[in-house]
Amino acid sequence: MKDRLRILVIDDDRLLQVVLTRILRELGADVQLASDGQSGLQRALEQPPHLVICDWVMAGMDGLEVCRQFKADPGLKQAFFILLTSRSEVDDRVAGLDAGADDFLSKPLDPSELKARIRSGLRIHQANAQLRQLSADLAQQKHHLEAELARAAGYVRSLLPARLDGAVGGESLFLPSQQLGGDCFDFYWLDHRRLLVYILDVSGHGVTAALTSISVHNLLRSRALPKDLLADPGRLLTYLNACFQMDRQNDQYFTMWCGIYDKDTRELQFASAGHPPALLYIPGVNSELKQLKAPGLPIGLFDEAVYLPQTLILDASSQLFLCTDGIFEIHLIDGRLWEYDEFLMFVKDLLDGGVRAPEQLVANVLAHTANPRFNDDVVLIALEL
Amino acid sequence: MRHTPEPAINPTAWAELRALGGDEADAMVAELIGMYQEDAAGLVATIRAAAAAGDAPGLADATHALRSPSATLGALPLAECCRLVELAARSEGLASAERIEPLLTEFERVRAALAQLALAP
Repeated sequence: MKDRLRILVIDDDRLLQVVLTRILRELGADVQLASDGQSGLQRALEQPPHLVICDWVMAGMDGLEVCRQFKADPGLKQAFFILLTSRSEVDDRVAGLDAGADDFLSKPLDPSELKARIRSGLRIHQANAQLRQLSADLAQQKHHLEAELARAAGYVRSLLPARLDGAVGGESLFLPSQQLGGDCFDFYWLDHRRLLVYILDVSGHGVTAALTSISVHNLLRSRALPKDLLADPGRLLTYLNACFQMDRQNDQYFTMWCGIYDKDTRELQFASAGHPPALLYIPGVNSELKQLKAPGLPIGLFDEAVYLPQTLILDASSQLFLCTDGIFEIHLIDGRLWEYDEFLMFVKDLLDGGVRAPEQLVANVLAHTANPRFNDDVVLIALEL
Repeated sequence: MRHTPEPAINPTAWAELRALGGDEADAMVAELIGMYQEDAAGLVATIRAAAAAGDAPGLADATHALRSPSATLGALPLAECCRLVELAARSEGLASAERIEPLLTEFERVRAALAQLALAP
């Protein structure tokens, strides 16, 4: 408490005012005096006291009502309120407590008891003031942190690719479960023929996961890497595995699927580091949904991990879908985890029915599994190849 | 068994009050006695009038007003008389000259005792 202790005495007995003033000044307090409730409230509004000693039975507004009005005023309710009672009123303490009184003192007053009660009241008042300060500080910190996270999430979103039109159409959906997630992806033309696409999912959530995914993203976009490395998915994953070993990356590892598509030869070369397979949809009477699997461990777990690339020539009007596990690792209404095969069948039915856009696919998944939202980050990329 | 009347001013309460004054105990006690004499005379007049008129609410208010300063000065038996009259007036509507007899007797004892204390504290 920075300012001097202020105590307001509300009592119509002027002898008691003299006596109380003396006792309270001994405690180092500034004493404000009022002879009735109305003028007491007036004094308090002018200069809010830390502690109030108020008589119960007074002409006009009684002590209970004064107490109620103090406790109803946001600027005054912090004051520690002591009601003075006489013996006959002891039974009415319940009413005093209901009015918000913090303590009671019996008349005639015993000076040493009075001082002890005031000291204890001030301890409580100070502890409450500290708690209020702490809670205000915390609220401010939380606000700052949320604003920072929102800015960071805005930054992550700004890094993600816009939709792609032309020889290859590309659309994506990014739904971080918190303000910041560890999922990241990109697709862009390496040159006039080859399109690079990748998706990655860093273990964990929040700022540390986002930092790792951003640094991978920036590295791959920086053009610091030779084009022939970017154009070779197996070598690229091997290279990343050498750069991002877990002991150097806040104990984080990530799964990744990356592919290179040549629009002239329609060749897709891809490799995976423990990521769920990309899905290739071939429309037609005998439509197919293929899982594009390639062996490889998540990046960051083992120095010597090997990534074997796969190659595929795509039929005309194939569609490639890349996702993170957040979209299918979800619980059904009966509590059971959705089987991956069920997910595949569900997606294929949707695609056969002409649903293509990531937003619609995701909305259908939520509706089908009766979930209001996803628990994990969800990324879905759809490419028309 | 011989009955010793309770002192009009409780010695312990009086000693505590003086202790509160410290070096200025004489001046403070004189100020308090002066205030009390000033206020109490008027309140007792009001009590007499209210009792004579059978005005129970008026009697309750005036006895309540006399009770607190009496207790502050250590006049505990008088404060108790005030409480009993106030209680009867407020809860049962009792107000008569007869009911305030003990209070008036006790008030005279307090006045005499305070005069003594004011002269030789």
